[in-house]
Amino acid sequence: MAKKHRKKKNRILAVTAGAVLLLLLLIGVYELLLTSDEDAFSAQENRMLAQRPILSGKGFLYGTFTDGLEKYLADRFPGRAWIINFDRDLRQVGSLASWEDFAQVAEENVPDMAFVPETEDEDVVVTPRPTRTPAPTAEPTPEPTSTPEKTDATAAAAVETPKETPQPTATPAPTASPRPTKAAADVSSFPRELSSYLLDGKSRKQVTMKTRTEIYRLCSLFDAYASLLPEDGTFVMTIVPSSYRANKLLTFADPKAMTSEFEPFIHAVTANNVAAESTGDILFGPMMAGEYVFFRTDIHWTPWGAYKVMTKLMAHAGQTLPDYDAFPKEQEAPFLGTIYRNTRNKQLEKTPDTLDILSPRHPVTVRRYTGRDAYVEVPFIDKAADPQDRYTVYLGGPKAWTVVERADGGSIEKSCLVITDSFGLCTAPFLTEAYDRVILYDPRYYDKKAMGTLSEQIEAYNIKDIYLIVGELHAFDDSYFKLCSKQF
Amino acid sequence: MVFSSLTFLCLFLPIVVGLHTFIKNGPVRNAILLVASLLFYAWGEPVWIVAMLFATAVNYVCARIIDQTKSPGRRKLALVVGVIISLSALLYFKYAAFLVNNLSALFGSTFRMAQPKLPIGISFYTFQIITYTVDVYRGDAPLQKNPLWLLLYVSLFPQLIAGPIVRYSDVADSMEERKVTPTAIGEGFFRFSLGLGKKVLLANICGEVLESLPAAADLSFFSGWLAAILFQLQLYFDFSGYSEMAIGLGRMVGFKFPENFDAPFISQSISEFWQRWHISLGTFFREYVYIPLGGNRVSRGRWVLNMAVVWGLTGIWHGANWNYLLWGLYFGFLIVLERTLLKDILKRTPSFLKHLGTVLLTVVGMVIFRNESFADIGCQLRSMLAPWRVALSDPYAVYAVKSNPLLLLACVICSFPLRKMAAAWFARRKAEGKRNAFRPYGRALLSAVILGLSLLFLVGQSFNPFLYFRF
Repeated sequence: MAKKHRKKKNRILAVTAGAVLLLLLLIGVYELLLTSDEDAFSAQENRMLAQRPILSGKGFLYGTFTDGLEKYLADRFPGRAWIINFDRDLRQVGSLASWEDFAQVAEENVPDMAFVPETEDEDVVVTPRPTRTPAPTAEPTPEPTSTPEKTDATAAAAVETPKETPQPTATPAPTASPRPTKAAADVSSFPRELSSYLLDGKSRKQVTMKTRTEIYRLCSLFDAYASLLPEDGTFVMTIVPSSYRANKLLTFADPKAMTSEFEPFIHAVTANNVAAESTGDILFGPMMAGEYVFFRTDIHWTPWGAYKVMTKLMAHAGQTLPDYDAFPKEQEAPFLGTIYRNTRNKQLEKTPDTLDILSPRHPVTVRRYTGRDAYVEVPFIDKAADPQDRYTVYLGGPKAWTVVERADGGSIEKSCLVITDSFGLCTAPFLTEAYDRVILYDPRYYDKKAMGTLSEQIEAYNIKDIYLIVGELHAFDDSYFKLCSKQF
Repeated sequence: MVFSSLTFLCLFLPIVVGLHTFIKNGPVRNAILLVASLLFYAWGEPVWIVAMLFATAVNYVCARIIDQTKSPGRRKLALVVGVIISLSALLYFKYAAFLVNNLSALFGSTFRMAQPKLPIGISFYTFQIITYTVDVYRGDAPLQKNPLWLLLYVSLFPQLIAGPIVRYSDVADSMEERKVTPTAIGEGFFRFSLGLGKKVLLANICGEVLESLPAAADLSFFSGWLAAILFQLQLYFDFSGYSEMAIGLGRMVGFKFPENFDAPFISQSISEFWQRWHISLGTFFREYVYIPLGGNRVSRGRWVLNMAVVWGLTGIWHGANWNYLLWGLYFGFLIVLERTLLKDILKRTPSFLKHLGTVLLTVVGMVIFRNESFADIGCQLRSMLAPWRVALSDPYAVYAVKSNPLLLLACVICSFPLRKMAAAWFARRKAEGKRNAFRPYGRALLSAVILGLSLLFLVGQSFNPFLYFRF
């Protein structure tokens, strides 16, 4: 009797093993044979899911088939979206990390991500095209080696500058600019290493730093973009601070607690039709005055913050914006963004954000391109956007090449290009006021082979103005602008 | 192929175990396992299967010569040829570039040899095939007349890639005939699930947390220790998890492999630690290197030399770099100290101090193992042992600990011999006349939950969120 009982107990584990193995096999067979092999897109990750690999001798020999099969099985696993959310939630269980801990780590990370050009990487320096060159500039050829009227400081800086330092090449053009030319850049007033600082009342903490050489490289890239624009075209750039850093300023109650030397320098040394604005200068004052310009629980600016900055940026291109309230608006509350998702901070949970979902005032069509002529039409507001990341309601999140076109036969006949990461998404409603075609370009997802070079695209779409709106994490990341250069 | 992959879990494992269970014919079972093992090895890297086939063929011939020849000289010659050819493949693939480049640097030459691609599992199957030839020579193992079954022993998929190193004599009987009972399948499944959980739920996440800590030069006192401890835990759960999966898989297909880890962190001395950590490697070096060298039945000086050889080889077996050699010698030195100068002191030392000392010394040892450059080893040791020269803490370490308290707790708990403790508890209850009716259900549930969670984590790992950087 006892033996029989023991045998029965032993079988329980074996039966479980058999059942689990059978279930695993069913999943494997289902994935291999029964799942659709059509293109599938993951909105959560903003990427195409893996395709079923084709078995070939070569593929097996070099491991591409086996790697492909593993990726396919993972990507097409039944209930993957739910599993991923569960996995993310599970990893947060028991976390004691606070928002302050996270912000501190993020801040420590920023200097590591400083843009460090490699001198041998020639494609970082882009020579502006000689054609369609914008307005002439009296400068900016900073630090010429033998300018007699140089001040001592400038001369000293010139000596320090390596000879191979790429100089911004502002090729003189025969035509005059429609806007006043910039004053000659007094680069001697800038330090050799440009920084942004966070003042905590007692000490000045360097947040980001780049050498002038590095910034010159960026400037030459910006000049190259600008040189492709028509005579009245403008290139406007800004770097958007992350909300956790901006919010930290509230602790100091000083709008000047964060200062940046980048934008004034970029503005000074680039071509005449390149403008740079400091988002910090525009938004920190209102933020201290209690305006809701940055989210608390999400890394982004609010649409209201974006509106305030876009008002300034678009003014450089001679455009004005109607009142914020004029835009059709829905509110989503409570909105808990990515900072909350990452930290699960109880305090943040108690103070959720409100997300203004703005739509353009005019009917628009939105096309998301995956090739030069391959596109899908998507809604401007994607109400089914990732529930874990509601900021992607705007156009479904960042994509390689998204064209927002006015469908009301707008007669403006102007196109603009927005070089951006997710920070530019909520600017599209504002830009459709001044442009009948707004193109959002994210170099991280852009495939030059499928889409063509960016300079070809700028020409093909007849772009008038370019806006570069990038979050600080990418602005100081080596790879982001390298991609811009490579895709140029 | 690796055990912690969806291809293995959802296709390979159920198909192979299913076929092997339902087909009762011994030779057909062996054939199924052989084909499966070769496919397992060839998955993703089929070219190097040739090296394994060659080593098997050479040792098959040598063992036959040893078995059939009575001349001691010829037997010895066959043994030496078999061992040297097996080791020369290992030497070429693993150590040639290291040796050549160091000699080249020593003589001021600029010549550098490129590191050949290392065939997966070569360190393990080379030692296994050597044990076969040596055991046949010693008369400890029977000759395997069927070359295919010898190939099956070498390539047996559960232990092919990461051990444990199984001696032929341990599995010789099972090669001919083995029973696959429901109990064995259940036990094997239970062990496999535990191993998978260790690998996917603990080791992989320890690795992720470790990645978030600063580089060696930027470590603070806190992050220095945290990095060393996390690496120790990652290595333990990774390797012991893999070994446990191998043992479980072996049970499911009728083999009984030796244990490879036995809760090493409860050790009270370095010697004990190495009796509990990678046991099959220690056994191999003891049986095939240390004892043939004379073991400890020699003069004191010769014994120290033997220890240096064995521990130097143990270190360098883990990788062709100076840090591995140093790591091996470090442990060899500690064991020599324990058995000589500290012998009497340790007898009088309280257990908890011995335990603490052992853990700290092994953690320090892992710093040598982890960092391939001496500069990095120096930096991390400085951060750990000279706190006045570095910052006491840094945000990365604080964030890592605060974000993963449950992981750290789970790692500490799972470092204890829980399975043995549970078995002892159930045995006590049984001795007291109490029923353990829930035990099989509990084990079944635990296996299913751990396997399910591991599967979720494996799928979740394919998620590429770029939480902040995609924006």
